[in-house]
Amino acid sequence: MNSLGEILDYARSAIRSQPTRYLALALGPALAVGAMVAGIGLNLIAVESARASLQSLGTDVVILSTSLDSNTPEAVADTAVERLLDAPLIQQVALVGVAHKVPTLSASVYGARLPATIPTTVLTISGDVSDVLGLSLRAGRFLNAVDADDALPVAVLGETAADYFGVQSPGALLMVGDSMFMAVGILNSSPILRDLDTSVLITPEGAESLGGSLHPTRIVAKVEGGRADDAARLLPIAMTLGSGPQPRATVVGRLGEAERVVGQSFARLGTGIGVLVLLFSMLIIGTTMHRTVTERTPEIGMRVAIGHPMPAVAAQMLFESLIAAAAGALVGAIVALAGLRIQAASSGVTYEVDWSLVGASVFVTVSTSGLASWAALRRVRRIDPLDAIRME
Amino acid sequence: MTGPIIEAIKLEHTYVRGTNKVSAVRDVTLQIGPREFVLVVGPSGSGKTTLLASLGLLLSPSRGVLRVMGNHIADDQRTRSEVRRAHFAMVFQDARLIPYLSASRNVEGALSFRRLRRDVRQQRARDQLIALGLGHRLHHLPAEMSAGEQQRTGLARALVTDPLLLLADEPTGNLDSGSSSEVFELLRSQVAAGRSVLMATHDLGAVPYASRVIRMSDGRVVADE
Repeated sequence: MNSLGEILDYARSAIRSQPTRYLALALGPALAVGAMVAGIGLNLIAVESARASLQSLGTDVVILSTSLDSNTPEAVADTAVERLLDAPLIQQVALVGVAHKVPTLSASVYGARLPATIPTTVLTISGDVSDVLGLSLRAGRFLNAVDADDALPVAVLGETAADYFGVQSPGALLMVGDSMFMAVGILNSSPILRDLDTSVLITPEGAESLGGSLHPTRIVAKVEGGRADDAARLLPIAMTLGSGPQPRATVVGRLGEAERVVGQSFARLGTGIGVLVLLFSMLIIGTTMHRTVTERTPEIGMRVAIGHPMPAVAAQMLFESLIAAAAGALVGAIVALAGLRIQAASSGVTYEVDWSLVGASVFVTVSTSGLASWAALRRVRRIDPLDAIRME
Repeated sequence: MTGPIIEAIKLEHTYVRGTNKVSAVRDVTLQIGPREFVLVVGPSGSGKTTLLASLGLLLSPSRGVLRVMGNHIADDQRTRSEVRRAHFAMVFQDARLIPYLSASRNVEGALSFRRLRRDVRQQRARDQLIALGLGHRLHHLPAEMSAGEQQRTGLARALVTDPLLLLADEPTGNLDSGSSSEVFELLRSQVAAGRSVLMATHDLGAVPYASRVIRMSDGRVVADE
């Protein structure tokens, strides 16, 4: 057996003789690696989860319109719409047109429920605006293709508009202009298109019955992830092919940027916690090894007296702390990874373990533990064997 | 071998603690030859242990010359350590066994870091313990043995390296008279086996076993007979 083998053999015996002490020693690295792995993993899960949430909120959406003033909207030409549908970067498109404006009514008509009056706009919707904007319903359903065949035109109301019309649940009838509509759904508030809250959404067929315009005034386009700014530059050009006034493009959500911000926040949090726990762990290890050297001074002196090289004795004690730290780090990593799997499953996202990061966390923790031990073990070299042997 | 195993000429050792200096060994000149059983006696604080540690190369003397087997020992820790490992072994007042190792592994420890195969080390440790009547304690931890058994294990640890000179510092300090006699007898048997023994002790019961007695007082050798 070579010297290293003998050193490890002694270290193993020492660890077995005081399992509680070395378990306590392993606790710090276990917590540090656990915090780092969990921090990194939670960050990835959070980003994945945030991506899903942000996508459902309709981020990476570009709104194209021809008018700067939403009160006097201009229709987008049919040719421009056709060109847009063929343009790159586009994933989904919904057309929104203004079919009718409901005159502003006094709140007194509806009693005290509304403290003020609001104007209501009737919007014609083509395409799946619900998907594009990630709209959710408070009640009922959204407009669908079958609605075109109904004898009674149907409408979906924005949250505030539903209050305005006194519609509490789907099935209610409401008069818009001279036409009767049946409310089939009530939307939750949309963070992307705020004016939907005060609008009544109807199908193009419904708009026809009102005698309103069928031309879209706004095009809501969902584009490839993280390409909203590129799309905002490209799409107006693609729609006009350089002739005529270009539509104005407004980016209402940047998924890539949102992911980056969310990722940064969690990464900072995870790293911060990891570093704090690591420092704490170094403190525990340094203090424990300092105490160990004091307690084992007679042993050290005796071993030097019987011919064990001082560096070998110091190395043995260093190995003892490294073995404890490595074992703790591995257990911390395993527990953290198991926890992350549970968290990922409950969040409904897939979590791919980044083994290089796990390995780096273990390496950093074991290295810093070794550093803390080494600092404490420098005293070993200064021990006078004779003093050590005489020590009670 | 006919020359002295160890020779000290005008050896001095001074402890420095802050601004205080204490001369524990002063102007000591002596030789320890082969097959000698030398006692170092004297009151507490007379410098017995310091002399033993200096001659055993555990301490570096402040002044003087040390020769081992005729070779001058340089003031270099590595050399001193190698010479100590090669020729000397020590026994302490308290056996100072490693508490987390069994008796056989404690004895085997003296053979560690000597480029010996583990099975060879184990066999020699076992043989040595059996020779000292501890065959039934091979796998016992120090805490499971009596003080006398611990001391004999300490002695086995010293003898297993087959040293030329055995240095014993108050080896019977913690033992009853019966156990002390056993230890003295064991040490005398080592002289018969060709080793030399240098023992510091308060126990005058050791005198009949010794071939020579060095008396110390205030760091000096006052008698060598």
